[in-house]
Amino acid sequence: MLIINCPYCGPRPELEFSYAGQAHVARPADPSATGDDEWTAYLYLRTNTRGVHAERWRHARGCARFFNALRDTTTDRFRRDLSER
Amino acid sequence: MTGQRTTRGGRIDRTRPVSFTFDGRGYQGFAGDTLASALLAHGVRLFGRSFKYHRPRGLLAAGTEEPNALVTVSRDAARRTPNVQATQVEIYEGLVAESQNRWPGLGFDLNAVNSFLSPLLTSGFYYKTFMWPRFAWHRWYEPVIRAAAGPAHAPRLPDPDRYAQRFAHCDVLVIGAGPAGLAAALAAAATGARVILCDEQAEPGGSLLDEPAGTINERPAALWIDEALVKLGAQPNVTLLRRTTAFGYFPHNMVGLVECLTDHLATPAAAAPRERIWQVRAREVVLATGAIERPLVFPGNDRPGVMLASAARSYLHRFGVRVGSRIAVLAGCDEAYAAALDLHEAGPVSPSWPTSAMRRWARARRRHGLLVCRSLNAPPCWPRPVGGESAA
Ligand SMILES: [Zn+2]
Repeated sequence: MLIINCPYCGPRPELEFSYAGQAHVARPADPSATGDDEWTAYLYLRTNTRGVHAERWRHARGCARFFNALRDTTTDRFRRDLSER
Repeated sequence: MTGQRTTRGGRIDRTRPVSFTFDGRGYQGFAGDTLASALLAHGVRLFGRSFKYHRPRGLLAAGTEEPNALVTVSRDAARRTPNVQATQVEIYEGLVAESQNRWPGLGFDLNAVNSFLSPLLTSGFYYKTFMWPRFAWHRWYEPVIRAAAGPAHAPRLPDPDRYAQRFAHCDVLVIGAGPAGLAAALAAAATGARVILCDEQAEPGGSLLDEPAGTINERPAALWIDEALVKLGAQPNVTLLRRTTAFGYFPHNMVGLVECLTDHLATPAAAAPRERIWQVRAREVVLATGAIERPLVFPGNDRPGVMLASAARSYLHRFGVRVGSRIAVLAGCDEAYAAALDLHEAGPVSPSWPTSAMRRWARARRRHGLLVCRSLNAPPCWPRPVGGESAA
C-alpha cells in the first residue's frame, strides 16, 4: 500500500485516495466541431508511460480534492515535492 | 541417530514437565521444548513420510527451515492445523500431534512400496497417468491415490477461532531479535525513535540461543540477551512482538506481520484471538533475519538421521538434547567443526570428514582427540546410513 502526498493534507495511505487518470488531458474546446478521431483520442487514448507519469489523484476519503502528482510507474515512487494543487 | 536428553544445559525448564501425545502415544517434555526437541529427546527418529514415495523422513533442522517433520496439531474436531513444522510447535500440557502422509501407521507404511516401484514413478511422474481405462479413474485409482498423496487433511468444521488485526506506525521496524536485531533495536530506541521489534520465536535471542559459550562485549550471550530485553522493556517507545512472523514487504515500507497469540497455550481464554495481523508502516525497516545452513547434497540425504550441523548444535544448546550417541560430522564450513566439538563435549565419539582444511579447527579437534577421516573428494557413493546410527 503506497503513501501518497496530498498537497492539502500531507502524506496519507493509498486507501484514502482514488485514482483519477492521466493529468493534462485537455477537453476539446468545441466538442460539436471535433472529429471522431480527435474525440476518441480525448476519451480513450492514454500514454501508458513507463517511467515518470503525470497523473491526477483525488483524496476521496480525506479533503476530497483533486491534485496532480508525478509517479514513476516502474518504482511507484512519487516525486513528492512536485505534487501540485 | 537416537537422541537423548542431557542432564543439564539448554534453555528448557527441567522442573516443569509437560505431557503430550504423538500418534496416540504419550510423551513427556519440558517447558521450552518444541515438539521436535521433545520427541528427539525420547529417541523418536521418524517424523513423517515423503509426499510421493512415502520415504521415511526425520528431522533435518531445528527451526523454521525444517522441510520434513510436518505434523497435524489438533485441539478438537474443528481446531486441527495440518502441515505445521514440529520444530515450530511449542509443546503444552495435553498437546495432541499426529504424523502425516502414512497409512496405516508411521512405522509400517503400505505406500512405502512406492519406493520399490520408484524406477517407474520418476520424479516428474503425474498421477493422472493412471487414467486408463477411463472409468477406472473415478472408481479405483483416484480415491486411493488421493488418500495416498495428500499430505494432510483439513478440518471439515468451520473455524471457531477469532482473529484480530491492527495497523501500526513506527520509525524503525526490526525484523528478527537475534544479536543484530537486538542491537539495532537498542540503538534505535536510544535515539527516542518508536521501535517495533518482532521475532518468530517465543524467545528473543536468535542464534545466540544456540551459542551459550559466545560473548558480546565480553558478556556471556545469555546475560547479554537478558540485559538487552530489560533495557528494551524499560523503554516506552519499544514494542516487542514474540511469536510474530513478518510475511510480506510491500511498497513504501508496509510490512505484514502475523502474531501467534494462543497456539502455545494449554487452555486459551475463550474470547482470546488466536492470531493478530499487523500492518506496520515503518519509516525504516531493518532486516535482521539471520541465516540458515545450506544442506549438502548426497544420495540418501533425506534419510532419518541426517541433520544440519547447526540443528544438532541448536538441539544441544537450546533444548538440552544430544541428537545421537554416535555421530559423524561432514564438515564443509566452520559450523560443522563447532558442532563436532560441542557434540563431542556432550558425549563420547565424533568422527568427522572434513572437505576443507581449516587449521584453527584442526588444532582444536586434535586437542579434543577427535577422529578425523580425510577425503578431499566426496566419496563416489555415500555410505548408506545403517540402523539407528548415522550421519549428522
Ligand atoms: Zn487531502
